[in-house]
Amino acid sequence: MEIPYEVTPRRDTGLFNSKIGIWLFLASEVMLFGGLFSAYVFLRVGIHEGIDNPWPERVQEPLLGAVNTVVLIASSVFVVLAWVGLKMRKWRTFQIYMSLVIGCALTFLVIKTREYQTKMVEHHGINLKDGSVIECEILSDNAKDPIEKRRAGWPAGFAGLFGHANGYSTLKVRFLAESVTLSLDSASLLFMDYAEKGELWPASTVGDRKIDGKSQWEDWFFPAKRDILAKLSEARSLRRDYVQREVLGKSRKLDQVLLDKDLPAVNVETKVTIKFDKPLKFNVPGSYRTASHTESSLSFVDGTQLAGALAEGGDMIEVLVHGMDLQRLPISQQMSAKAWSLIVDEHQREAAKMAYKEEQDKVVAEIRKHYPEGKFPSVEEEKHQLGSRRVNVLHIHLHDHADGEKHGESQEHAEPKKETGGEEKDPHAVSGGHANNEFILARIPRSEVLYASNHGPWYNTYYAIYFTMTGLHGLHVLGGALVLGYMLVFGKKLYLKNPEHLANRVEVGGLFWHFVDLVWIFLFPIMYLM
Amino acid sequence: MSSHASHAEDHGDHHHDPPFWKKYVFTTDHKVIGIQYGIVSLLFLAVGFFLMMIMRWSIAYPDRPIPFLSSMPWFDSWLDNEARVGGDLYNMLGAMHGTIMIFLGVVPLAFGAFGNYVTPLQIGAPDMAFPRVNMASFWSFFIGGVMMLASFFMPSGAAKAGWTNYSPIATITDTHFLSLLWTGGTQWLLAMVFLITSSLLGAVNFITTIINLRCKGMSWMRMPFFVWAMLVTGFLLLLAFPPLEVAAIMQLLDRTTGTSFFIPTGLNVNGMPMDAAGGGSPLLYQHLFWFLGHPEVYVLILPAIAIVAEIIPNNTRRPLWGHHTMVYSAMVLGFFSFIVWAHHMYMTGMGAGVTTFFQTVTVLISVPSVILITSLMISLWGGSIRFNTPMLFATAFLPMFGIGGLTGLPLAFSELDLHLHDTYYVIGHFHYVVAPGSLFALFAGVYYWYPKHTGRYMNETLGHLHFWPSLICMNGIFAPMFLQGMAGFHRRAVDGGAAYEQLSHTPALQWLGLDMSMIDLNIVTSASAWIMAIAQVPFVINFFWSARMGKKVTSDNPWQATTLEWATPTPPPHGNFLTEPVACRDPYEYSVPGADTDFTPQWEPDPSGTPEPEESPVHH
Amino acid sequence: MSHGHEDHSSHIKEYWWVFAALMFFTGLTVAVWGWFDFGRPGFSAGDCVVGLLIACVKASLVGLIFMHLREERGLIYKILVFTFYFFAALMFLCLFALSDPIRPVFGVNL
Ligand code: HEM
Ligand SMILES: [Cu+2]
Repeated sequence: MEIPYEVTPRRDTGLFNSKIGIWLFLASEVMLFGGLFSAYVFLRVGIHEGIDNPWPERVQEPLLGAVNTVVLIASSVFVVLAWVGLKMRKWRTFQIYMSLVIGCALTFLVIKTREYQTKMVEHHGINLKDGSVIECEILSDNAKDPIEKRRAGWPAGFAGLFGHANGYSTLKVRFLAESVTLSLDSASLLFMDYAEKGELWPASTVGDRKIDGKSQWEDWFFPAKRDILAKLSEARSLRRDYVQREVLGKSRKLDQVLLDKDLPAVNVETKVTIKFDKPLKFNVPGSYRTASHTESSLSFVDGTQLAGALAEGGDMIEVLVHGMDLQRLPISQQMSAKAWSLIVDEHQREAAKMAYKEEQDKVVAEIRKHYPEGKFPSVEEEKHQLGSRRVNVLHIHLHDHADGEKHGESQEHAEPKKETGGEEKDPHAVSGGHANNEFILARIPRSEVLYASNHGPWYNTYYAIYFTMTGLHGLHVLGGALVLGYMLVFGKKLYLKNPEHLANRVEVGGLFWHFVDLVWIFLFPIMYLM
Repeated sequence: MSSHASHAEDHGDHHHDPPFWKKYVFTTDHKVIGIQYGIVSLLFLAVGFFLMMIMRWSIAYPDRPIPFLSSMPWFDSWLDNEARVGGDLYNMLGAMHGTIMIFLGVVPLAFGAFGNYVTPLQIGAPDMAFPRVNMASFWSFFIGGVMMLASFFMPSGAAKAGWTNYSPIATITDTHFLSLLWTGGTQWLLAMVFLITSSLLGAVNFITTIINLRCKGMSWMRMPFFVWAMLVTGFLLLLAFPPLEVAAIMQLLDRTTGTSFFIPTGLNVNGMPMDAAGGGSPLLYQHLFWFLGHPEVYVLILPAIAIVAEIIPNNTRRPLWGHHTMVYSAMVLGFFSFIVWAHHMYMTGMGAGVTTFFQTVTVLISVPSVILITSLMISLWGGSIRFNTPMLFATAFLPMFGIGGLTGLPLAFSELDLHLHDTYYVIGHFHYVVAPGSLFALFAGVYYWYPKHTGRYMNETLGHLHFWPSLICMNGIFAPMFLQGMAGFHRRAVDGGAAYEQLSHTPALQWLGLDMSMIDLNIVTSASAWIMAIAQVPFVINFFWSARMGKKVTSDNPWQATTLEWATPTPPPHGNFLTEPVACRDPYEYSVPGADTDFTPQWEPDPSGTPEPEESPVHH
Repeated sequence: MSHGHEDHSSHIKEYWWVFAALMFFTGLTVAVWGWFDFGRPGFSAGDCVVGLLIACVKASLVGLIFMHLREERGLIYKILVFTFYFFAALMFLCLFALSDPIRPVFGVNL
């Protein structure tokens, strides 16, 4: 049996099957990306001023994005040329152009990866409770710590996707634990996971039993867990049998049965406390799986509790400041923002503030132009009328990173005319005798922190949608490249047998490829330029 | 044509026989794939039904230990200390009942099974346009289904946040388990991605097949209504599912990596501020979900209407009334179904402007629905009806679907909906459409097309034993829900609304002459549900027994029908038609004046006219 | 769609022209970001409209020439019209819903 119209078009519709198929598929792709575009607009327009983070406008350096646009458009041309090559029965032409397409695809992906990496590894943001944001790089004094090492680097945040505790937040709680209390009945094993990851199997005491090292821990833990579960289920079944006998058997009402004296109770102590022989240091990534901590305790959402004390500096985060983002504060309060006071060196602090003030004045002057004489709003009015987004000028870059990598997050909106190149010297870098490789150090108490992480998708909704859309687009590039690459490598046989069939396939694959290009044409402006 | 029946077996033997796994497992034959879909989705319907029966115990007898199950070793760990269904278990059952019934039961049975089996036959095509994509579609569905089932056996149990899986509740449930990947919520999302993929592949395939593989003479308006319904359904799936896929991906990221797409600023969980950036919107999830959700309900109902539209003319022996009108109505329905979704969201605080818009279009969309059902009713008019089992189910479909649709109208008005939203009234509304509605139509379809594949009729007595109790029980289950819902019973209460206990002897019940309180209706409903389970036994027996022992058909066209699927041998071989089929006339030419028989099949040459000139497909 | 061989080679030139045009428009988009500024300083609605218009022009070029929509059959257009309608519903109705909320009673400046 043969399916008709696989190669030749049907006369009344004028199309062969796979052409209809691919257009339908593209239609659903339009809706797929349409859903994401719609989400982008929804999230952006739906921001509540004064409550949510302001949308970070134009925070990315467009250079790499522009290069990628060129790369993709070029590959689009190459795909049609490859197809034309087949139509003209020139195998060699096809080969050359198709190889160029694959090359473009790879270039695109490499550039994209580089962009992701910069965001994930080198840029952190710390949102303080008063609304100011410090753009920085968090210093890790624990780089040797195995947990930290595993979670360092940009894939760490996606650990959740692959099944384990997520480590998206780069902010750690450092805690010196003297004991841990585990709930052995719950299915959850967060503590054991940390122990496993950190290879922490400290010498400890449970009741009067000593355990030391991984195997002893496991010898104790799993039987203990089984034991408690067995006790629990025995107690439960006693009680259930009783209830069943009384309610189903003697048709008594349950609320009376529950008052019975001889109703078996289920009270098995499921909590066990393990004392560490000497205090054990934990670095727990802040995430919603860490429920809370106080001066003397730290608990996970599964009920595991550590008792002890915050490690020295355990609630202090040291960072290298890149910039200040004070958009959420009214202009008149920006100079007294909490963030300034956290810069350690006084000279640096004053210099930074001065640089900032200079910019602020420019912006205020610019804004005043839009208001009639004497009508510039007061603080309260300003907050309400202008809204922070409309004075989104004060996101100032303070320091160039030592390695010369330009920070995407350093846009300065006061200046209407803007150079595009990434090379230009930041005009607002703090002067005052500080050479490029001298850093502005800030120490931030954890109690001041509202939320902190690297600039991964978890940082705010902009980064979330940016990573999702470009990631999904990247997967499409990869998929398209694989399909086209397959035709390049294995197409010869079909070409010799039925060149038109191969041409059809390339046309269909090409249509997909153009669509991927088309999506990027929209992604580029909305992600980089708006 | 009758001689084909005996040829069927040896036809297969002409070719080399493919190995078992290629013929029945990884097959590309649309009929086998259709049957695979059918069997798997019937099993899922049974599973979904089973979950519901447990829920109904908890609702009817919230303070009694659950019988039987409390002694099952795995299951008992889910029960509370008094061996009752606890809140967590109830939520899990509720969410999975909805998910399984809709995404793994009705849609695959309607679109996957009947669509796959019947569509290519009715348009005279040798197979689907992309047979291997068809196979991929089935296996993707299968994987998704297995993942859904497997999630029950994870430490966290299956998903618990309702079939709509609203954020942020769905984002944060079960996050205290060690491995987020192996929790029910995450598995639900991943499984959905597979199910959506399956639907998309299927939709592309169906639409292409219908556009490009119609046989000679099969012009657009000669296509039976069933094929039209599949075309519209295909477009609904194709264009409505991707936004849900997007929502699933975003929720997956929220859940596992900590993004904030659907997490608003300042969300507190268990009294603690959630450590997430915030700034997201739970409303966005609802928009994306219902953008699929509403078209999805038409995916549930259009194939059902279409099956009924095939069976009614066949058994009244009269043409389908308003074939063309029905086609246009289905198209209008498809169009409108994309712009009414926010009627599920009146309670979210949309402003008056938006509400008015959605209210208006929702009322408008009932017009094509009413046209469809009216056409079917008029088709009954003046016919000498053969009440065989398929016809029983098909006729019962009409009033049941009517009740479901009419009770949707009050919901369309936002003022009324504010009272009725999330009550049992809504449950009653949509179950009337999908349970005695869609499901009855699907049963009708099974009874109707069964002889095509097996060469034997299903047993009529067992059919009646299946139909009548089912009809009574369905109404016993769902009619009380309207009363309870209007009295305010919330749809997700594990104890069936113990808080409403004082609503006794309400005027509505007194007016009906019933001396009971609203909450007692729970027992009526639950009892009906359990009896209904028994009522399915004759069907199961019938399904297997008739395959071997049923009455044999005497021709390839046992119902004396007019559409092309009956022109094939029984069962149709790989490639379907022995000679190139030609559609010479409209699909429902029953009782044509002057004809010899009371049916004139589509393939019967029309002496007065020639088939429309269209290119003929290549055969063999 | 059965073109002769000459037909195709004449297309090649056209493809390169389109490429040039696309490059030009890419440059223009970046220029809008850098040098021209519509509306208030920094990003504004003006930039948004202009940026998206340019993107639409680019998209049409890709669609019409590279994807051969210019010479495609009506059926494809029908599919695209459907899709456009649903896409528009998705984009604009969500926005519509967002623009008309019942004002919450809490919080500042919502
Ligand atoms: C004929 C006109 C119809 C109208 C005017 C209508 C209207 C509505 C409205 C306004 C709701 C929302 C109620 C609420 O949540 O407060 C609703 C819910 C629902 N409808 Fe309909 N409907 C119609 C037909 C259908 C059909 C044909 C189906 C299915 C085949 C269906 C399935 C559903 C489902 C599944 C829900 C509930 C979803 C949920 O909240 O879980 N409806 N309907
Ligand atoms: Cu709806």
